[in-house]
Amino acid sequence: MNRKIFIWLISPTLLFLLVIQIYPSLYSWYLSFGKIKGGVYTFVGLKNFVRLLNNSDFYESLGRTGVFTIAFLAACIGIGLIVALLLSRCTRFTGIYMTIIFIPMVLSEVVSGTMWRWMFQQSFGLVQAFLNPFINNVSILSKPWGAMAVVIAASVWKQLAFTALLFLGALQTVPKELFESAAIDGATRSEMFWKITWVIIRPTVLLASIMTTIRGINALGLILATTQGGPGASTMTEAVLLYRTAWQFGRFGDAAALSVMMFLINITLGAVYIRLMKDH
Amino acid sequence: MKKVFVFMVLGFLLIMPVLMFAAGESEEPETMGPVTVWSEVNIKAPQTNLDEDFAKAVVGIEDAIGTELIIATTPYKEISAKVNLAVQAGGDVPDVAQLKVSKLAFHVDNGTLMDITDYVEASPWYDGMDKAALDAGRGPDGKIYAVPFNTRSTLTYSYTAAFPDGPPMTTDDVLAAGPGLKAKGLFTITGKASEQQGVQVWWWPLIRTFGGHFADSEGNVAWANDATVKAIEFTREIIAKGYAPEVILSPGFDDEIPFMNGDVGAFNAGSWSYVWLNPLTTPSGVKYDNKSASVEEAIKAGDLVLSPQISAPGSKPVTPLDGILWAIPVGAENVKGAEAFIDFMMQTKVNTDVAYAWGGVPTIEEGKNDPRYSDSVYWSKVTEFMSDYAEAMEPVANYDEATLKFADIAIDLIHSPDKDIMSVLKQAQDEINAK
Amino acid sequence: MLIRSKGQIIKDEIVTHGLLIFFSLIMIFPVALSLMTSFKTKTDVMILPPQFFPPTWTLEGYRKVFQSDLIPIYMPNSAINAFTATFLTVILASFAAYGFSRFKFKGSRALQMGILGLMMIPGVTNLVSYYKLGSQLGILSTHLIMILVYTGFELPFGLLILKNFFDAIPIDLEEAAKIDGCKSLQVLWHVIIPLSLPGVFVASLLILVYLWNEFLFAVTLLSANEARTAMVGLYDFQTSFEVAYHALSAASIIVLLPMLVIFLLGRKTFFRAMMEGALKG
Repeated sequence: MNRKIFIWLISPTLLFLLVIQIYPSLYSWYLSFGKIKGGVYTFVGLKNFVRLLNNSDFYESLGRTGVFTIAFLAACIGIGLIVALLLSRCTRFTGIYMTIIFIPMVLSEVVSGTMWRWMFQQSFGLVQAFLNPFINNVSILSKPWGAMAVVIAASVWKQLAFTALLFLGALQTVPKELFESAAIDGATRSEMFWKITWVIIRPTVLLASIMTTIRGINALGLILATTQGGPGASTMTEAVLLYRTAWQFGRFGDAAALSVMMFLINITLGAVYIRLMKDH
Repeated sequence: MKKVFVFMVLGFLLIMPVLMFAAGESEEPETMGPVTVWSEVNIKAPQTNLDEDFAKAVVGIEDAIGTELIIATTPYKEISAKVNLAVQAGGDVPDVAQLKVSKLAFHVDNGTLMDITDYVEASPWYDGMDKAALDAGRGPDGKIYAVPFNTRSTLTYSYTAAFPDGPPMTTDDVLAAGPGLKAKGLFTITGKASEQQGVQVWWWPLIRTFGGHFADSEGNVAWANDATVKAIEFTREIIAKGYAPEVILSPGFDDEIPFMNGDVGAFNAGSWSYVWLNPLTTPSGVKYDNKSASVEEAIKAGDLVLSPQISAPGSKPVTPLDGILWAIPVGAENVKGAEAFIDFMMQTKVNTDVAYAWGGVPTIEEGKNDPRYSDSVYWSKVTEFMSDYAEAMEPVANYDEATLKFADIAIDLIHSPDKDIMSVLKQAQDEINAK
Repeated sequence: MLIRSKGQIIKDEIVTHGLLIFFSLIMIFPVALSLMTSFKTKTDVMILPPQFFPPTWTLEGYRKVFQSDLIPIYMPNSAINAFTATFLTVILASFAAYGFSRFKFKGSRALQMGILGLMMIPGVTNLVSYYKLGSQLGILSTHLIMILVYTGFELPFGLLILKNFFDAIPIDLEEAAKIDGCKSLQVLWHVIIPLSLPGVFVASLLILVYLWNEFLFAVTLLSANEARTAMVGLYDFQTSFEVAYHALSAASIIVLLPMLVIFLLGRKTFFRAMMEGALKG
């Protein structure tokens, strides 16, 4: 392929990205250095950033984002791996299982959030009613830890199929002969997993982790549909805080500053992951 | 597989004309185009009592105003935000927006509403309007920025089955009734203590009657005071002891459900609550299922009693005065149409119907003589409490942000009994005022 | 260990299938519950203790949904926006992905990283910019703006997926075809396109589902009733104080059906492509 063809191939994409992503982001960046009132923009320099860094909400939301993302990541990867392993050992019904497990992924966040909120509704929620005898009638969604747990569960529920599928694909690339020779050498099942399977699927795990982490940090729709950031601020992650600042309070300058910070965090994590991938 | 590809190309060729056609639809309208109203009602496919009542009230409006009426149904919590975004970013501004009095300061501060003083004072319904209510639509500069069409306040609903000796009047009454009701398997009180509305209907009255203020006269929040501490301690106590259901801290309106099911003795209600509170079941099992008439029937049967908002011991009750307004945002295309719409809505009969649908008192004086108000046990009590105890909340420009922040920290303090209330309040107060 | 006794095999099967059935039930439960709720009456939705099955089966919820604009207006809007944007995205991303896959140059990796880095920008960030741009161009509340925004938004993701698939097609095949005398265009038609179709299918399905379900941009950039999409339209059934759960559930079921059907029809191709395909890092 020569240079000319390549340029033709990527120009439309680059054009789109320039107009739809780059330009608005730059405008956003510009907004982060100012304040908008009555439609008029005034430049305030770094004031928005200073105020943001002095705001307890910013740090608390950061903490909640951390909790959410780590739990989300661990569950998606861990449970996804387990499901993939189970599926790879199946000979029959694999298609049916995979289809059912994938259904949550085709649902929207709005619909999923509503479903989960309905399940845990204090008076009419089926799951809440089922759990009531065990937890002394405590309404799960009205407790900070409860709301966070539900939000994490709903997000994992929705995303699980994706990681499971990625892992299943990776598992299929593990050559059976390796297991045979390992068995001959007397290896245990767990040794065979860690020394053979894990080594081969590790790059996929890493890729899945990157994608899941970014999803987790930017997760917004599901949280809004389930708890709206509540009760209080207990499920207000950075993404929810950003949404509130821009949308509910109409403070676009501050919201832009927050999104710059979030972008920096995302980029840093991305760089960390890439470094991890390179090392391998 | 190639067939798929061909299919996709054909599909694209089919879609292109639709795309062109659709994109062309946003051309300039002719002179007196339709009037666009952003409101929470849905008259095309009414889902709730409010929708149905409003739809009935505006029958014939299009003939009267001479053009098409388009109501863009918008969730009530988002109308203010969307209007603000539309004006600030120069986008699709509606001709009329339905707003709450409590958000007026926010809009005036952001310059999103048109000054309609001249229009209002020259309008045919101006003379018949309750002037005190009209003040709710004025900005700090005295100019009129919105037209209130009803006034609303709060009160307490109590089941006589739970309170045979009379409804609870003070926080001490609630605490005293707690153990007895708990033994019967009932909560003592419920109400909304979360989000912006929770601040207005639960926290603010408590803070005021304990002797404090939410904000000062400059619009800065001033909630770091002893009164607030006491309000939080009270709420903490009733939840911890099981006198109030946890759900009062949840977003949404699930706090109403225990009262509707007869699991709670008292409900910290808004004058509008009866519109939504049905079917109603008392703790003794009597059921009322007649849409918005359920509450009235329960009162007439003696199962439900009305009393002022719960207050601190020894203090006169305070109930927040709020209302709903029609406003014309800056940059609206069809100002003539907007004015025609408001003129129609402010006719005595329509104003009364709409005010009633939204659970408030009409702002056109004559509307108050309507039998629905004058003959109603419910409304006579509500207007009595309103005139004796109603007070408008201190105007706060960043209302949503301040109230949301307060609700957040209040709920957090309730869940964490070891945190020092005053220092958390002070820190949050400083953060909000630094904006 | 590879040779297991008959008893061990049966035990393994039971455990494996048992766990998978357990997971499947969890996955499907909320949807099943929604389905049941959609057939309940307004009051049955709120009876205590809560029931899974409707005490009385009714189509009241569905009737309310059919009375609304969901099916005649909102869903076609969603369809137009989602399908067109998906189509545009996949075409453009395929070109770019093929280019990146076959043409290596010095800054290639950096450029790709840059494009992928755009995915790290939270969606809400550009809301105001889109709104302002949109209103200045007079295209707010139109299909055009949604399609443009959706395409721009999904391009990096499409690029990521498609490049992985193109990388998996050995370049030797193209070389071999050229040696056999095929001209570039023929190579494209006979070699590349057939082999890339699984990847294109996966990317299309994932992007289509995402855009059909998209809510945030749709609720911001579309205020006119006629332009509303299905997801935003769901909020018609959830006004301030009341949530008409039976109607909301019915609407949710109706809204998810198109994507579910498409997924069910294409699932074998999708799964095969995902697994044989190249998403291995």
